Amino acid sequence: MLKKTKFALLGVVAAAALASTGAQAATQTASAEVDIVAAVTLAQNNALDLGIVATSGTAGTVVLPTSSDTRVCSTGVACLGTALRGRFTVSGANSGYVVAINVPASTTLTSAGNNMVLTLTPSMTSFNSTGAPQIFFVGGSLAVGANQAAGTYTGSYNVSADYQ
Amino acid sequence: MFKLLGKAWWLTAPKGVALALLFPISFSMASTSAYAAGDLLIAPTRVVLDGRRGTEVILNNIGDEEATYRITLELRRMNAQGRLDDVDLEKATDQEKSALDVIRYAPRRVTLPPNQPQSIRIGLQPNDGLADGEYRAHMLFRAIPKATPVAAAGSPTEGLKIQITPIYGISIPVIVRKGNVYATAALANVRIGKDNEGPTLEFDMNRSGNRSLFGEVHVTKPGVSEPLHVSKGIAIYPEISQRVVSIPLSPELAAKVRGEIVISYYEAPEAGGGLISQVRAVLP
Repeated sequence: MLKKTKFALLGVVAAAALASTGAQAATQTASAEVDIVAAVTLAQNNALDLGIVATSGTAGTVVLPTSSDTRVCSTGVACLGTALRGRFTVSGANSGYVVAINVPASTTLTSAGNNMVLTLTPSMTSFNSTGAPQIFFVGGSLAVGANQAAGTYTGSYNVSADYQ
Repeated sequence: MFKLLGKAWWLTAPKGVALALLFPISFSMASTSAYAAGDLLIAPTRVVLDGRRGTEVILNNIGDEEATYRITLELRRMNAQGRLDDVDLEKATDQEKSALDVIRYAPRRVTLPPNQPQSIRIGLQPNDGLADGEYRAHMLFRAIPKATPVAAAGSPTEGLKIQITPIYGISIPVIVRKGNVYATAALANVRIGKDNEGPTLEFDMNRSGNRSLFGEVHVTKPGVSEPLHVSKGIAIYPEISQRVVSIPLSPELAAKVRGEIVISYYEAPEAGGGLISQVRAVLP
């Protein structure tokens, strides 16, 4: 099992290096060590974006599911523009490894002293790596108050891929 | 040989080789998507310090822009589902605070151009006064987001716009073992469960002793050597004596696990790969 993984990685090393046979042989000797110190990468592909929301005298919610980029806007709010789920890719996790995805339950967005709460939902809380890059999404639900002041609301949220 | 796990290896292997090897991995993924500022690579994914020697973790900027990364030690506590929950410093136990005191590392903030790796050195403070046992913190590597100017031109006159900055990163456990530490585990109560994504194969893992266990869960059929399923990187930490291990069942796997199965928990291959515990069960 361990051997197989080593050879799979070897292929990557050899293909990327495109080196002479002699150089590859040198790489091979060292590449056995790569399996022992498994590397992992985390990349953001899309930033979470809820687009533009028009408010009214009635409070409402904007829900961006983790399954699609289409918002569900309740009465009281109108959604304009386009939205995007947060999209991340975890790569390089060894096949079979269990990786947890940690996203806080909510975050507060502010604009000139006005606040809104954005509830966050990851598309998965953990995954069993197949060795292939694993994509996960972050969606959310935004609570918009009645006559919520216009403006650009800013905030941040933490996302981490956690190893046990 | 396998004792080398992320420790002595860095000290014995020529550094140039180690760094060079991180590149091909990112190369192979370049075709899948464009990279954003702050994307990162971490190796290894677990650190155990049980002697006086320190070790190193490699952080590589795989984004396409220069990025500044912050490295912090966080406290996490495993819950009964095996997930790691954040622990506020005010609510930390003495054991957890000791981990923060005893682990030293540098640098704690680093700015890297694209494809530039940096090693983070990890070592121990003198800890003669520390009781025997296992101490743990989770090292979190995060990119500090660049301040994005609020786009005045794009600001809507009616309605509101939302600008959310993700602060994303990778955390790995840093485990300190001092003196006489031991642990064993037993598996029990194999059952079919369910989570948000569908049916699961679940069992309880019971731990005794004063240290964590880490390894692989193999699901096999009696008399068949090739496992039906393998979950690697399964830990049970000393703060809990029992956790649930839950394995997602694809329709294919769900059909295969019916009848008699054997679930085995092995130490990680780099720690010797020995069998820790095993349980037989018959599933309907």
